[in-house]
Amino acid sequence: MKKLLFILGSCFVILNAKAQDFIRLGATHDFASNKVLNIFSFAFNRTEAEEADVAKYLSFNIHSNIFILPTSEVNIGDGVTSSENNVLVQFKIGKLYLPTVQRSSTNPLRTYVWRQSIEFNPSYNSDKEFNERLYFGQLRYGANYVSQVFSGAVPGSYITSVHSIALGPFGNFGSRNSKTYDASKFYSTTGAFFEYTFRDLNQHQEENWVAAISGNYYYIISDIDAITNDNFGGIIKTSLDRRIYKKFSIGLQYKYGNDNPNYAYVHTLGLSAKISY
Amino acid sequence: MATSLAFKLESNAVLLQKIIAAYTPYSYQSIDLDQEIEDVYIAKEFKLNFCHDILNTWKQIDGAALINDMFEDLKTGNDILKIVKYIQ
Repeated sequence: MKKLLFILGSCFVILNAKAQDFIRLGATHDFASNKVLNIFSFAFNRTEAEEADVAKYLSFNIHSNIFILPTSEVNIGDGVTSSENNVLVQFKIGKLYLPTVQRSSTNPLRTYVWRQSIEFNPSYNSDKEFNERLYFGQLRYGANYVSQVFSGAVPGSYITSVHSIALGPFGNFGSRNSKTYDASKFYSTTGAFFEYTFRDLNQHQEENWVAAISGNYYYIISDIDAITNDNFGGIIKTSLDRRIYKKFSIGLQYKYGNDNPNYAYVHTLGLSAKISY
Repeated sequence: MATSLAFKLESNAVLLQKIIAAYTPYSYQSIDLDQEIEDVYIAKEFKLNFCHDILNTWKQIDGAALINDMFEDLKTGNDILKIVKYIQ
């Protein structure tokens, strides 16, 4: 009951979150155990492409570009055995560098911008059983390139495609509290992340296609020895979504690698239906 | 008084048209402020830059409130102008 309350609580950390929320239902094939699992996941105040944050800011200072942005992500159902962040709550504090947008010299229909951010994110990450709990501060630098292309130069034309690429290094420093091994230890990792998102839009601004690749790779500086033999951890996630009707779309997802809090290996291919609201 | 206010409002509209036009291949005169902003003129990926441009032009606006509202309740250029009008 306490756990359920915590899950609900973390869901409603940001009560008014509206943007980019979605429910995903489906089935995924787990290559490691060779069986089919259900997927049920939902997200509040968090986009699939993390760098394209469309979320509720607690604070945004125009003079310094310093922001505070709480986010949470919860995955429940069978899917948690093949999913990495089962419960992740972050309180992002960062500084943005937002230069003015540029017009491409080769294609006058394309505008682009390179942005940068430095973040300090106090975070909580655990599995759904709350056996492995991580409390850490995350230091992160991100460079983010976004570009949009118009169908024409006359009014009435529309944005046909949007690309977003983000990459940068990060470091996590905190503590692991493990019920499984009845132990606590300094937890620390350092590595890099990468994200790419492509959206194909029609004249009604609906996303016909969305393709995304994201991943990270990191060195495990310190953790409970019994929990992993690896010196490195990392995961790659790819997805392809096709809109079928209005806000209903179907998608393919492929995941390979391992991630916190359990370093459990994931190797799955899934098919799912997604409803955005 | 009425003339100067009208001049000011027109300037605000032109300023906003110019901000939006920077993201598009259109001339600023052809930006229709009645139209929705998101994904008509500016993809959601550019939202922060767009808000930043607005906040730099009208520094009295609350940053977090504008960003949070921008693509939820605020949809058109005229909605943004209403805020600008209110704070000036």
